[in-house]
Amino acid sequence: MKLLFLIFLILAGSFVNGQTTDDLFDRLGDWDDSEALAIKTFRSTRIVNMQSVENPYQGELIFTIGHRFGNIRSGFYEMFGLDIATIRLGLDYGINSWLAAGIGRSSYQKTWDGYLKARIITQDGTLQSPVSLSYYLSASHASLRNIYPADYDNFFDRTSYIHQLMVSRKFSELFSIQISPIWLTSSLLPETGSSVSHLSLGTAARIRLTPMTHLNLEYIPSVVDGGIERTNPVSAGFDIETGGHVFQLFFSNTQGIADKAWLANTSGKWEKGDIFFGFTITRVFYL
Amino acid sequence: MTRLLLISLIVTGILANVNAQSSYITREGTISFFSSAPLEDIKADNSRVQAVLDNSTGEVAVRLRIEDFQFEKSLMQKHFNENYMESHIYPEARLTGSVENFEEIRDGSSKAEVTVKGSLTIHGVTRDVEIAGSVSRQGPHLICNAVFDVRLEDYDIRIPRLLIRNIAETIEVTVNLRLAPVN
Repeated sequence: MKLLFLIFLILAGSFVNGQTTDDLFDRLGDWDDSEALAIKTFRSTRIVNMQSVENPYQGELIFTIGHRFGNIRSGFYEMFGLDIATIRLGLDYGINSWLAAGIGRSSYQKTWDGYLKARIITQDGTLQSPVSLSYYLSASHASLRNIYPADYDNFFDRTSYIHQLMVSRKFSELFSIQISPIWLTSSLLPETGSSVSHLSLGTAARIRLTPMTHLNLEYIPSVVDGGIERTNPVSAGFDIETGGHVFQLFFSNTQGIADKAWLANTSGKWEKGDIFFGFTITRVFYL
Repeated sequence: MTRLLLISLIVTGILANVNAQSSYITREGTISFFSSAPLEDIKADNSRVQAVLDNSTGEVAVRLRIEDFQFEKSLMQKHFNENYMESHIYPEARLTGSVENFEEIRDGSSKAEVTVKGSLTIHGVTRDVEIAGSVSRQGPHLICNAVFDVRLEDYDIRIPRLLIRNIAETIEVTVNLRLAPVN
């Protein structure tokens, strides 16, 4: 019995002494992630063609240089499209933590564009939301001469509007998705010769390949064609993060960079080899 | 004998209970660091530091998540996480140890200079450390302060040659914890 008592004492003693630091961490429980925000659902403010749910950080001015080359199918004579480039120069600015604005100019129809983009809900934010939600409103103005009929050539005839909702979910560091209804409206598009009210449903996914490299896939089918005949943009791209900027390389069946261009005027077919190579370089400045 | 066993069981039970009840805990402590290099000063704050101090043993455990450090420039924060701290591989930094001279506080003194002896884990590397600081009473709370230096080399944190003039080799870490008693 004495022996039993002794054994018990030793056990009890070791239990009390056993309050090691590991047990101390147990007293804290698990990390509470309910307030953690899903940051960097996508690595850039654009996925390939369409806008991602991300805004520039507050005070960030992002200078964006976008290139789309010609059809790869054009062969060696055109250096597989590299001889032909359309370009968009843009500035994106984070006004505050939820609102961003930007302007851009693309060589396609000498188009000016301007936009506002608002982050409405952030995943796992104060609303305990499983998704992030942003809204994007863009106006683009085609300034190329002599493409509009004389009677339809005022400022507003030449301006198209895009409304887009970005609903995204970041499942992990490895994987995110986004679904985006995109509504394009214009009183007249020279591509179709009529007024347009077109709805697409953009879908996209991000897959992490290495800590600094991500694969983006994007498919934007028409839901209501509203007078536009086009093929649906299908794109695959890489986001490569390097010091101070994100470098995006991609292949797509559209040559347009401005939203209106790829929404209204995508004609390439992957299966026929109509593939356009493009890249975007961003450089961040802090104001 | 059985009675003795029973009594000792109860006593041990009470002891263990007291032990569990006399913790001081915070989940919103602050740890900042400051890097002073020829080209630039860099500062970052983490206000979600968790710490627990056992009143009876003077054992202490502190942990934080690297991603919770907030920088003035978001890009710096990104580089800090992805390039230097590799927070996707080593998400936490931890300190475990015992507070020497904690008896002074336990015995009712309102402020004491203390030393924490233990091990500090950053970037997956664990090293023995001795950190001098102070513990003071503020109502029911314990306020813990410390300032100490961390040599990046000690924790296998590599700075690219190009940035050697932007980032100091030794970082000053400031700890400010306000621990509440837990019953």
